[in-house]
Formats: sequence, structure tokens, C-alpha cells
Amino acid sequence: MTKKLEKWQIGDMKAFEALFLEFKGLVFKNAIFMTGNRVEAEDILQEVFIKVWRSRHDFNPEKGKFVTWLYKITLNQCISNHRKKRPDSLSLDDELLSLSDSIKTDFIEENLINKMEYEKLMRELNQLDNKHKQVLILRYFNDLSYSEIAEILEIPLGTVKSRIFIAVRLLRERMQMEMKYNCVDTGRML
Amino acid sequence: MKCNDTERLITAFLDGELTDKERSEIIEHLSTCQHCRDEMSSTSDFISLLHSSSEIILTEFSPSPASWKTLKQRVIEEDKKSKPCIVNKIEKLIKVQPGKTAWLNWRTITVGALVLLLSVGLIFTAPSFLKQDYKTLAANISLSNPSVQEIINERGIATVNEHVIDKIDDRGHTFVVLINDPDYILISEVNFETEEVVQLYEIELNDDTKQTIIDIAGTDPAIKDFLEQGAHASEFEIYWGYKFDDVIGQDGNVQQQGKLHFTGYVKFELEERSYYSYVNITDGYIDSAYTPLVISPNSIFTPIAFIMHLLGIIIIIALALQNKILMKITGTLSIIFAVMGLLCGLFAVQWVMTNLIGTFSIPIFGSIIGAVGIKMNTTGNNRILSILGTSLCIIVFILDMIFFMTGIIVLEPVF
Repeated sequence: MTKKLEKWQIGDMKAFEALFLEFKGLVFKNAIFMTGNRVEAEDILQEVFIKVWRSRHDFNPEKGKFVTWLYKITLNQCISNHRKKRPDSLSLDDELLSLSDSIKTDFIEENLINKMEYEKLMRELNQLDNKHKQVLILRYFNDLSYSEIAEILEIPLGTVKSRIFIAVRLLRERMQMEMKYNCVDTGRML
Repeated sequence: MKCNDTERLITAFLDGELTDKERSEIIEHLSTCQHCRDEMSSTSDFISLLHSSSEIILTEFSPSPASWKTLKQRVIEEDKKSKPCIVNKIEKLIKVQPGKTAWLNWRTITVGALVLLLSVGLIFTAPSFLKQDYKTLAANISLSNPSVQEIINERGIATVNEHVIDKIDDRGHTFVVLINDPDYILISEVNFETEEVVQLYEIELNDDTKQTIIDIAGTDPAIKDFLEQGAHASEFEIYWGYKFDDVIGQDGNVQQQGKLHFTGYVKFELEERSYYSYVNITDGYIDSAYTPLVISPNSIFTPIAFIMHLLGIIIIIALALQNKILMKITGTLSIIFAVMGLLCGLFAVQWVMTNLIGTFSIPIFGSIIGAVGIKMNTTGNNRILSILGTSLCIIVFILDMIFFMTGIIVLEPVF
């Protein structure tokens, strides 16, 4: 990894390609979670790696890990992309909700998650503000520790702790709210 | 532990981010509280739901296979656009060498250039203690001269001034101001090669001198007219001054020679009206261009200018090392630099800087430092400070340029 990074910093395209292949999945999934939109996530993936190439001289291996640096760039790019978006495109990508049949059945069996819950979650996550969305994504979708999150977001550990608590509570409450409305709509009892 | 506190810590508990003490407190509370146990179980279910959803996305979605090709194309195009060919080549030359990271980036270049510039400024503003050696020699040569000793004894002067000017001409001559009293000035011209006093200049503010000053000033028609109306001279002062002129020497080559002169000041008064005049006594002409806004060589600005240059170097290095505390100071300092630059410009502080470097370098340094501050990851107030400082510095620099062009700033030694 160190060799790869050194080569990338002196402008080696092969090393850059290796880095891209290794980390494209990570950048892409976080972009999807942050924006809820596949096309936009592709766009962000490109922009992030253009930045990685452009600011290769600014990265200092002594000051932190490459992946931490990459997380920072990705999250910033997601936020700035989101600001530029037109209001009508703010809605969640339909593709994200209509999953393939095999996936649906697999997950229903293995993880006891149903389609309705998944859809609700994605919808409500997309509505959450960036501050809370970020911590949830880093903690539960990337499995990062609180201290790693603190380093990426450059906030104190205590703030990470309280922010995750609030984010989880917010998202749960919103999902419960939506569930209630849905039941009223369909005339069913929970 | 109360229910409220427990609820607040449940997420961190499930994430394994609590201290042992907190953990045991929570476990103890859970054993007695059904409400919190329910809360814990539903939070845990919810977290599992989050994990499962993330896995769905990971399995279902991946970036398009063409994304590397698109990226590569963009990177190549951008590199071509952003850098001229030669810069590319130089960059490659330097960076292909085995080493840890690329050392030639905007930061090192900026720092290198600035340290160099500031060092030049440092030399020009260096206080006298750094130049003591030749000054001590010049003072000693003057004091051991018999004529000088005779004058000092005759006038009964206990302490001698010994101010040595900061410049040596092409012949190796400089001037030592030995006595600088309001009514008497004694200056020696020292030759460093022969280590001798070449000439002594003295002037006393006696009636003859006063008459000479009035006579020279009277050649001005306005003053002549004023005198004829009955004006009288009420105040006199004498100063010393020097100039370095290009002179064709004995060998036919152009050489710079120092020339000493005495200046007289006279104030004429008649009822409510008054006239000031400055005259060159040595060469006998009116030199009224000088305004009273002249700051003395021992001005407080000399050490300030020196300290500012020194500070500049320290700050830029600190910035390069990305020291956060010092970055906070950056913005503030660029503002101080701007104000100093403005003062230097407005007062045309010739003695502080002795030449162009001072008056213009301070706002230039200020704006570069401010710009570095902006370029670094400063946020919030620091960023606003940096931007404000930089803009001020740029405005001051433009003002200084205008002053210089229009002759408001005269960048020549006054005396």
C-alpha cells in the first residue's frame, strides 16, 4: 500500500488505477447512501478521484491514513453535489427501491428484512440532514469506530457519540411516523 | 443510573463504545428496568436493519465498468490543460527521483520564495547592532584624530554621539556624526582603506550662520517680499545630511561618492503670517521641498520593520508546517502588515527602509501571507481575517504605488 501511494504521489498512472480499483466500491456505496441516487453516485465517484489525482501532493501519509483522507473528500463531494442539485431531482432514485427479485427473497429469508422496511429506511435516510446522515453512514454502513468517525469529520469524540444517538433516534421516530400514516392510508391495524 | 441517562447511552453500548464503568452501570440498570430493556431491544433491531440495508445496496449496486476509462481520459486531459509542457517535464524530473513524497509543490515553492524575499528585507532593515563592526572601526578612527580630540576638549563635551551612517561609497568613505547638538554639529569623513579622517565638517549656529541662512532663503522672491514688508526671522535650526552621487573619478570611471552638506531651517514671521524655509548652507541654495514630516533615523519604525520581517519568516514556515495555532494569527497579522504598509506609504518613512524594498515589501508580504492563509484550510473567522488582511494589503500596495508615481512618497534619503 505504501509503495502504491508513493507511486501515485509522483504521478504514476498505474498506481492511481490500482487505488481506484481498490477504493471505487467504498466511494460509490457512500455516495449512494448520501445521495440516494445512482447516477449522481457515479458522478461523485468521478469527481472524488479527479480530486484524489489533483491533490496528490497535498496528501501527507504522516498525518493520517489514505482512507481517512478519501472519506473526507467523498463526504465533502457528496455535500457540495447535493447543494448543486435541482429541487425536482432531490427525490430518491426509484431504482434503489425496486430491487431485483433474487435479492429480495434472499434478504427476507436471511436477514428478516422486508421490502417495506427497506424502502422506508432508504426514504427516511435520504430526508435526514447531512450532519446526522454522515455519522449513521460511517458507523453502520462502513463499520467505523467512533474515534475513526471523529477523525474523518474533525469533531470531538463526545460529539460523535451524541450525534449518533440523536441520528438513530431521529431515524427511528420518522420510520415509526411513516408506518402510522401508511396504516391509516390502507385502513389496516398494526 | 436513571432511565434518561441509560437511553442516551444505549446506542454507544450496542456499538461497544462505552467504558467498563459505564457498561456495568447500564447492565445493572437494565436488570431492574423493563422499559430500558425494551428500548435496547428495539434499538438493536433497528441497527440490524441498518446493517442489512447496507448489504443490499452493496450486493445490488456497483459502479459502471467504464468508470476507469472515463476517469483516465479526464485526468489526462486535465493534466494537459493545466500545465504547460515544460512545467510537466520539470515536475517529472524532480519527482521521479527516489524519495518519500513530492517535495516540489506549491507550498515549498511559496515558502522558498518568501523566505528569500524576506531575508533580503531583513538585511535592509537590520538594526545597527548587526552592522557594528565597521561602525566601531569608523568611530575609533574619528576619535583618535588629533583635531577631533582638540575640538572635543575645547568645547568640553563629555559624551560623543558617534553615529555612523549606514553606507560606504565607492572610495571606501563614510561619515561619522560626532557631535549633533542643536547649535553645533561636527562630522568626520573617514576613509576605510587608509583608516584616516579625510575631512572634518563643522557648523555652529552663530550669527554669521543665521545671516547666511537668511541670505539664501531671501533669494526666494516670496520671502524677499515678505522681508521687505518687515518680517523677521524667529526660529533657526541646523541639520546635517548626505547624498551619494555618481561622479567621474580620477581614473575616468563613474563612481559613487558620498557628499556631506548642512541644511538650515528658518521661520519668518510677520503678525499672524509665517514662512518656513529649508536651505542648503553648504551649496547655497533653497531646498524648500522638504516638509516637516520627516522621521528621524532613530525612529521607532526601524526595529518594528526588522521585527516584522523576522515574524514574516517564522509565520510562513509555521504555515508550511500547517500549524493551526499560528494559522489563527496569520489573518490578524496580514491586517497589521496592511496598516504598517499604509503608514510607511503615508509618511514616506525613508529612514526606516532606506529604499523601495521596505515601503512596498510590507504590503506585498502581507498579501502573500494572507493568501497562504486563505489557501490553507482555515475556516470561519480565520478565513474572514485572512481575506480582509489580504484585500487591505493589496489596496495599500496600490496606494503606495500611486503615492510613489505621483511623488508623494520620495524614496531618497532626505539629508
